[in-house]
Amino acid sequence: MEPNRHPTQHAQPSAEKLRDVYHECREQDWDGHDALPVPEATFTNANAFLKLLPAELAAKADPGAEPDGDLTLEWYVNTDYQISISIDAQSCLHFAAAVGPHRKRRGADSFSERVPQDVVDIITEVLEHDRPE
Amino acid sequence: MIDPNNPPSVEADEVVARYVMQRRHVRANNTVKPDAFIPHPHRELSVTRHRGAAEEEIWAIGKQVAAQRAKPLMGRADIEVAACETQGLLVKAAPLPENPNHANVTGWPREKHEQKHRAMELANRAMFTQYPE
Repeated sequence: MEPNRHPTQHAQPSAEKLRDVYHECREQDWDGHDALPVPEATFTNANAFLKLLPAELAAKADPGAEPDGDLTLEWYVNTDYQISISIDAQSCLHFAAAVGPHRKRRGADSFSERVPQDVVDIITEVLEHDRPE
Repeated sequence: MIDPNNPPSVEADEVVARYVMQRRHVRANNTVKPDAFIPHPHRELSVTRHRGAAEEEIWAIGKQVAAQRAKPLMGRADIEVAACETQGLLVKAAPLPENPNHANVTGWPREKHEQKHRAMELANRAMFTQYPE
């Protein structure tokens, strides 16, 4: 089976798409597998996180949701360069990333008035590889 | 389909399907996000074995699951059992009355960022197929 290798497309503004995701995922079982609803506080936090990012990074975020009610922001170039960040109702971040074929990163942090610099650095590094193949 | 009274143990070279009923779990380029593989609120990830099932039967099960939840069936993400085992996860047969090919991916870590890391690796190896309406 061949792995995924396609750059993400960015047709809709990230903030608008985040709002759409929230509206689609605020009811129980939104994924057909018993997912928990996304709380309003989680949407507020994800929106705040997006606004705290440098504009050029925020513009390329692809929002989503996870079955535990967290919202996600993803920057995906290919399987070797990507980061997915989960944001919850307590302003906690959980992330997993690939910044090269054999360089995996993951961790947890929190944010209030600033996004953790290491997270910004990873997003930046991922997007440095967002060029046509 | 598998005999529900005598399900064979899951082999590493089998393929299992995760039904996708949330459009946000699929990227614009038809690849699947890690979000689709986060095992919550259950501790196991529900999948369907391809073993002994015709293509039409695999889709019929997905359509049945989606109909029960009143969700649209977007497609399915196929993943090799070996890819799960590489991440330290186990795939166990768990036949259901309505789906004798049902199985669970178990052994997920408790920490969210570790779950995300494994979900990302599964998504990297997954092959998404759109439901052929």
